[in-house]
Amino acid sequence: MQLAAAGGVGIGLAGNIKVFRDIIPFTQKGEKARHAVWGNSDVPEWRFDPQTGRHLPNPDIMLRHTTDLQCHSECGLRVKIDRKTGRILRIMGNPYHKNCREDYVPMDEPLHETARRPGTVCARGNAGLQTAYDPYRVRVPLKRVGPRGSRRWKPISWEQLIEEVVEGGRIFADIGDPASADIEVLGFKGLYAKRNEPMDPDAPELGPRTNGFVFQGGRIKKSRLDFVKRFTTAFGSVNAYEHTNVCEVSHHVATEAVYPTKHAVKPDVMGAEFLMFWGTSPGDANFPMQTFGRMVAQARAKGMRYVCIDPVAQRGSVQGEFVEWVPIRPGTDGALALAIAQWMIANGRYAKSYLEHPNRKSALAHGELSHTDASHLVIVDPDHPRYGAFLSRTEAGLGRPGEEPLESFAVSTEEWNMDKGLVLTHEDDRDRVVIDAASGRPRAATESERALIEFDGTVAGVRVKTAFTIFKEAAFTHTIEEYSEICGVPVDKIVDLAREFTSHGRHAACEFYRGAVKHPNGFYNGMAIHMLNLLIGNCNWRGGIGAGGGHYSWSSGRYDLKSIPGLKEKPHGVPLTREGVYYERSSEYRRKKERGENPYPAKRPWFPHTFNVYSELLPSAVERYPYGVDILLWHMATPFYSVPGQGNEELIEKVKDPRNIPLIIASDIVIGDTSMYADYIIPDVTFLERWVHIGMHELILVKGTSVRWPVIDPIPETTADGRPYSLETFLIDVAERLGLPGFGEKAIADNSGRLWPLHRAEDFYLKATANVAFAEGRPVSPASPEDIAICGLDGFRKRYEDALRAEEWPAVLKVLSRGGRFEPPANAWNGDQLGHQYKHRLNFYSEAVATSFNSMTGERFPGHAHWREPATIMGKPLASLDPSEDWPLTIITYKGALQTHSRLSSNTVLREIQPSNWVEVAAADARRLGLKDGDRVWVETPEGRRRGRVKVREGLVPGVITFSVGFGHWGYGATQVEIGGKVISGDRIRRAGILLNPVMRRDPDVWQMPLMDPVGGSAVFYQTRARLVRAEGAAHAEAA
Amino acid sequence: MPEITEGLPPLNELFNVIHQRPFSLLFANYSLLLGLAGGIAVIWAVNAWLGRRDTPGYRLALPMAVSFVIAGFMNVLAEVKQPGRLIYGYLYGWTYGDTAIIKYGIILLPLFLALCWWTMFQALDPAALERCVARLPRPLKALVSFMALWSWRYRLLDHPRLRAGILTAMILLGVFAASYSGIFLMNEHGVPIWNTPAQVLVFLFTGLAGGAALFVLGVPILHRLALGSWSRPDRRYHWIMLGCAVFALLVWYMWLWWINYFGDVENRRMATVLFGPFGEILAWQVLGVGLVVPILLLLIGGPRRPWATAVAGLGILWGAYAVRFVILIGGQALNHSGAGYLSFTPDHVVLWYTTVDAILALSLPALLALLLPLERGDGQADMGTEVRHSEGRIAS
Repeated sequence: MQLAAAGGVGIGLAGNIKVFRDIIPFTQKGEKARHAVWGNSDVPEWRFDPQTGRHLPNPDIMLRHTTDLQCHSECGLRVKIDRKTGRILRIMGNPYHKNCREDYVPMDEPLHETARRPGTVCARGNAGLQTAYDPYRVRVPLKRVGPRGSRRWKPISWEQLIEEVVEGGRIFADIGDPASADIEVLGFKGLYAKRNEPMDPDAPELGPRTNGFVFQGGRIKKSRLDFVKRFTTAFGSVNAYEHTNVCEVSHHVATEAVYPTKHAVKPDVMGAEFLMFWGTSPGDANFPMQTFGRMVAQARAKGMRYVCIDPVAQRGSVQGEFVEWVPIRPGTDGALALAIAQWMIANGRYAKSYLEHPNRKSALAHGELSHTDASHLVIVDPDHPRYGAFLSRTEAGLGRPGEEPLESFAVSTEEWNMDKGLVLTHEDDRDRVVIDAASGRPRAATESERALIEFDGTVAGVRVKTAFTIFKEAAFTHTIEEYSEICGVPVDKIVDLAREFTSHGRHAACEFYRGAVKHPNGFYNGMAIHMLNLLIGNCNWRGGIGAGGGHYSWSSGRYDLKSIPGLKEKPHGVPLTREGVYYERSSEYRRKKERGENPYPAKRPWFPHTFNVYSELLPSAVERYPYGVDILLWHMATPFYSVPGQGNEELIEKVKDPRNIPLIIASDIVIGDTSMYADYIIPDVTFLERWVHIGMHELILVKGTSVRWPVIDPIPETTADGRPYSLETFLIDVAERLGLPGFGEKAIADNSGRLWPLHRAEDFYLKATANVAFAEGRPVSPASPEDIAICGLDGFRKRYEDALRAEEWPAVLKVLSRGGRFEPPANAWNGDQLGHQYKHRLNFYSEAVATSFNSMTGERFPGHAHWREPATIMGKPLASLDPSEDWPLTIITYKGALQTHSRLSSNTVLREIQPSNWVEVAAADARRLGLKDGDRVWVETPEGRRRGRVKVREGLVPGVITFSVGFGHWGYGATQVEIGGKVISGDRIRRAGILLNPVMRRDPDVWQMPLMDPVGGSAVFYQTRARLVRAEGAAHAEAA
Repeated sequence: MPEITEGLPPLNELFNVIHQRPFSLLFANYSLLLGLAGGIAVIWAVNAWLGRRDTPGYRLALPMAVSFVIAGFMNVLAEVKQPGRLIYGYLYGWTYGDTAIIKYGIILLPLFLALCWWTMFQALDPAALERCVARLPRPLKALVSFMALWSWRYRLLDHPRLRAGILTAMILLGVFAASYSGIFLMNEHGVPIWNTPAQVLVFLFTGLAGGAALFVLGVPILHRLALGSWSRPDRRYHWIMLGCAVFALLVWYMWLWWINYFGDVENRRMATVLFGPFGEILAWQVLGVGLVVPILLLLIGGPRRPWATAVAGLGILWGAYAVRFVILIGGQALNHSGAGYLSFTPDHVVLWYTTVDAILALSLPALLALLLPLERGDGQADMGTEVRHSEGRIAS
């Protein structure tokens, strides 16, 4: 017995041997901590040397500066990396980057000087390493097993991937999918061979067959988009898109209509005395999010007041002495803006003198910083052949315009050429006519000192009005009381807002974002808000509106990255989305007219004024309108998740049918909510492993170009020659196999005419970096040896030495060491003016819009801001579509500061703070419906229903329910998949929450199209009518 | 189970929201073992105070207390991956007086162990102990003499003032040991289940009830092992178990009542955890098996039915562990942001130490009982005999 007991004690003690071993010898102290005092806390990257008074770098740590992509703010990052393991230890803000620090560090100051001047990024930025180290990362190419979407995959080699997608054939014969087994896939080679064949001989405007290759990108910007367009251009396809129409494209289009060449303008927050935020609030969304929040907080501390006009009160709308939330009904921002404009005009509280300058020269001569088209005459005779256009000098009997170039109208279209080009034409002032104020007679706009802004009469027999008059009449169409009735903002509040807005001279501004424009009337809402800025003439003034500091070009200079040597023909033809082109110029329209038919409606809408109509890609491809798609390449794209109304079974089944789209390839870092339906998944690199060059957002008043570069080794596998599996490597290998110009040997021309090869991503992006480093003939200073060592760039140069000329490397390393190139802070302002000024005319009236038509109704689009009821594409008012008796609530969405993008679902540190979302219900509605926090409800819409949890809240307009986007995934690691026979379990956290996008209202007259803004091209997120039904006994909130 | 108090409806139904958890199951083991040791020590000291010394429990309870303290320490040392770094917490605690309850634990709990160890020898018959030591080989004799602090040479417990001092210290340290893990948790910030004295009381009284249960269950087993016969537990332990279990149950209910009427959001969120993912354990194991059933058995069975007392004792011991599991694991299951729970999945390291320390906690009392000279007073009813102290004289 004693032996047994002793044995038991022995086992017990022996089992604790590690404990004894750890505690008895005090020198070891168990699991040894890294530091005697600080334990295992983060190893500091600097050590202060009291003797020299400077910080010394920790030799075990690398600090690399790159650019974030946890959202679109593109903040600078300082990435702290363990030199031995190459693993990221921490992500901070880049102190050289304006987004991250108001008094950012001039880039010529050495790195050690930044030790006591850290930069900041938001929680999303800090969490970015979890995106890179997501255990669900795809590391090798995957090919589906079974039907599309069956969640079964097999790993394949890179070589097999390239072979199959290039050569095509019966490449799905071996995957156990009867629907695909006999399909002869064209492949890139087969499609490229048809580059000289028309898509449709009867519709030559559709372009060649190579337009059957479509690139659908989610988030892809600037130099990486340039790279993709290099491929699509060389291949011969016009179809390269990103996601903008599910984001805020109507904002861009409305802005470009008012501020030609710019698709965003922002207030000078730090100089403003009063700001009005429409459809957003600072620090919640908008670009750059954290910078906006920081600037507003600092300005508020100095006495700046602002209001947030939004159906939902966000963090930035907190009530207080300097902040006010003005609740408004969804989609009625235009009505409120026009009411304010009406009061301003009626009470003479607008910058009439400023508006009277018909040209820039006159404006500058009188101390103004910009001019408008307020006085320019527009033809308003419906019978005139140029009805809706500006009256020309010839028509006014003033002779032809002079040929002299006017510097101020030399529109730079560099960005738009590389993005999807807008077709809003930006006519200069030379062929405009005004009524001269001094003489009272018509005069060329360029020759008048001052002109009448209110005129309604006849010039040379043509009935005309000034642009201002047209706007004024639109603003006075309703009384302020009627506008108040529409938008739900009391008359007194409207007057208060108008009075306050006009009480600060030029030091006030209106800023708007998604909430105001993601409506069928979004373009006109946006335009109406812009009008308020024009009325006080705040452009280019401190505290007013600015167009930002601009950027250093990455696409030209030392190397010409725009051109493709050897390219025989640029891609042409109507885009699949029918964007940027007029229906009235199509063969379809012509044939209908020839047959004597009403050419309207078109089968699906055409969008002449907008771009990136992402939501139209899949339905158009399935309907083969205007043509079918042979190869679809998704990149970070998740239309089933993000497009309103499209995550439905009917569309998914159509896309799963290989007869509709024979080959779908996805480039993704994980198996996403949409990429799970692809045939192949190409592993991609995250923002910490990839390249991009991107200009500063317009909020930033100094010039700068951020550089995103691979600060860690790629997580995916690499090719035999060491290139990471990524989008670029895929495109290069396909291009080289096809022999496309612009890839392989002799692909990129430098400024001496020499042709450089393009075999790897760095061959392109390092040259873009060199362009930035040497931009404008002023190269940056060379990187110091200490900075090179701290950033670990010496090995980097050795690795890619042959990608650049030797003399370029020191400056290129300097740019990399700073995460970009940034202008000194002093250039932001020049006295009471902005340092970088917008130099083009500001528009009250868009001729391009006014002379175009809705392709579904034939209705002419008005070219001016006005109040328009939200309606379907055929003009049916939404109120009649889904009556409020049946559908008493309206769904809106918002972007939380902690989620939104799919990749953030892998960031567990963020999910810890906010693990799920809710159906947020206004307190008044909750009382009426008897709902309380945590109740389970069905959100029913005309398109379906989803189940979620109620959160009752104040700060929400009654009749509105909302949810934060970014939750309710079914892919992206949320559900189980099988890879190579091995089951990978899903992560339940990623499935959490509710997503209402799939049940959002679609247009009743166009198959699988969400409600749309026909001018701005936005997919509508804020007009779905809904009702709540208590879901008793439901066990779990339904994700999708 | 019925919701005694209305918790906040869960804002979502998430499980496994990842967050930092300060403790593993090892801390629950530690809490239970120290709780039981404290309970044993308090009851032993009260018995001794009342003169009930010539009993099996008087000699056999302290080996259990000693063993549980040692096994408890092994659990907590295994929990602390850097046990040597405890010294920093200790120094930090004294530097900043308002922090780190551990500074008291590090002094008082070893003192408690030392006191239990020493009084374990003091409780033995000195002559028997001396004979036992004399039989040992010389090197072992020296070691055992030192370990026993030459306890056969003096009888401190026979001296009234010294006895009072020693027993008072034993009671205070026993209460401290049983309460300590609760006090420790109470000082961990931001965990509503922990940040209340109610759970300290629950820990203390389930420890006391468990201690009484071990007098009922453990002492007879050790007696059987060491002396070949079963000892008969005294009926007083029946009432101690009942009283402590009822008190623990009352505290539970008053705690929940208070939350219902006065609890803030954090407390109600705590209720959500208790009645949500931990509802079944709370209902069946803590309240049912651990408190209600034993109370009913003790009430219905009465002290005259030893089987009912024994079954109730088993239930109380089970419940004492379950309540620590719920409070400790449930407490840290709650995400600090208040949304989502982290369900409990023990890893193999935790299971390893739980197993070996359970073996240690069970076999060490047996070994001690087998090795110690227990010749006197055996076979008598525990608590059955009161011994008059010889006043004012220390036996030597």
